Amino acid sequence: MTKAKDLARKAANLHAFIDQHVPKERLTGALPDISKDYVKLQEEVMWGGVWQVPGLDITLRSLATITAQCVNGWDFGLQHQIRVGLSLGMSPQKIKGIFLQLLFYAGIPATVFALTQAQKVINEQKMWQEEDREPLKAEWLASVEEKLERGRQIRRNTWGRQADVDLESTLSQELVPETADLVDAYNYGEAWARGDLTPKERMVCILVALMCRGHMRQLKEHIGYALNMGIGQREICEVFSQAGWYRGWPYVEEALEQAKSVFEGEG
Amino acid sequence: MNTVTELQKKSAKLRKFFDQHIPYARPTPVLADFVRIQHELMWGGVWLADGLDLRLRSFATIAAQCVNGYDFGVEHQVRTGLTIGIAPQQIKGIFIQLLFYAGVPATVSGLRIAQEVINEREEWKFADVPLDVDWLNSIEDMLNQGKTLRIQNWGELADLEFENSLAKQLVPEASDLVDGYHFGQVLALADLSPKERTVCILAALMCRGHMKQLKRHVGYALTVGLSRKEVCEVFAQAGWYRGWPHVEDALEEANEVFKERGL
Repeated sequence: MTKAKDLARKAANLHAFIDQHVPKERLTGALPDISKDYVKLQEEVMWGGVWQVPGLDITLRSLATITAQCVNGWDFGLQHQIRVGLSLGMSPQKIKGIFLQLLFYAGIPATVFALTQAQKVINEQKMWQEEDREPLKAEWLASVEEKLERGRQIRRNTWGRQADVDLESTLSQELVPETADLVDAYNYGEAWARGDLTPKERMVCILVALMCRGHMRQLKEHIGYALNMGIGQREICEVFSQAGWYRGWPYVEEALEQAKSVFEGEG
Repeated sequence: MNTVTELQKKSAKLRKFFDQHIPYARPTPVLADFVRIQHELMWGGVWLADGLDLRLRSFATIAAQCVNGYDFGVEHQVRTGLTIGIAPQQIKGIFIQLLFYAGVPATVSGLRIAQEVINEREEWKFADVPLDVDWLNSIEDMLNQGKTLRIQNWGELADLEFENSLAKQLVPEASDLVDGYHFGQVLALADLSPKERTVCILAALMCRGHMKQLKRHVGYALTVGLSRKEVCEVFAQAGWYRGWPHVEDALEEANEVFKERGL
């Protein structure tokens, strides 16, 4: 039996670590006065519970949560989760890399908004600012064709041959070929080639973005690619369960339905 | 195949035109690499792709931003639309049309931001002349006029589908109000052409993921005179402002309709 008291204690322990850089006024903010009951729920369910469930490490939980917040688009939510991510040890460039990756899954406005929030949070701490002064040196290729080729290689090596076949024969390749080439070139050929996120981290971002916007058919395909990459079944399910708290639980049920059918197909 | 240098050149030229009326200096980019991708891919690529003219791309983008609801995004795209030469009343017309697809708050916020941007320039303020609208006196009249317009623009099949909607059956009073004001009044406004309205509606349905209704509207779009290519490009354009997976979903619906019609 899991006792509420234990959850509250676990929440307090986690807070002591991840809130170390939260400005005082945020910690002593108005929420407890607005609804003590909500705060109790949040502490026991989220910080004492979901965030500490086995099966997915806390940095990937943070990444999944930041992604969900990017799709949501609330400034306070993004700021808070970016701070948690930085406190967990993610570098400023990694945080920005998440939002760059999401350009292709949540759209330009979501990326622009999230990057702006990230910079605000990074500027709160000297050490984060200093780390942020070393931007990634990306190796930009000179033509769309070269980018497409590098993207194909990356896709084959990380997601497997089937992914490459699926993604070569999308409807967008057939119906809006010029734009589809640009997407593929810049997504797989440039964003994926960057060193700011690992392939696993990128995949977590994509799974969450697809779930949070309800793209179930595409999510199903990507669950297959995630398995090909070596991400475990349990990890995939925990990614959904983590992000779902920041977007709504019905999304988790839908995503798990897709996951189950992929797992069963694989035996 | 485009070299990156070509994309950059095209982008710089288009931005010089689009950004001529921005009343403030662009802030230092948070992530220079993102700005680079945005320039090459969006301004050098997508906005200039064949198959859909710049004005209709602007309509699709404003509709996507309205659904997104970020103030900075709506503001920026309203300004771009005005710069391209879309009239202030047309810009407002987009948000009025979207009332029926994205809801009251999205429209109210869009209209408020539109007015602020229009007020930035004398020439836009001057052009901001309210339409002379014939408001009908009864819901019945509106429903009648709406039926006529619906058939005229979108065809008999569209009319039949709206007459048989579940809303008509289960929430008939509200449904009559929607149909009366939407089809009988808003569709009759002269600010937007039927084609422009349809572009806004396609973008809104795609961005909110209403795939069943989107499929019907792809059919209406073809009837109103948008080509197969134009429909696809509306999705590709709006998708950049909402996320590419929406484009794949929308194209799947569109492709079904194209097949049914032997296109």
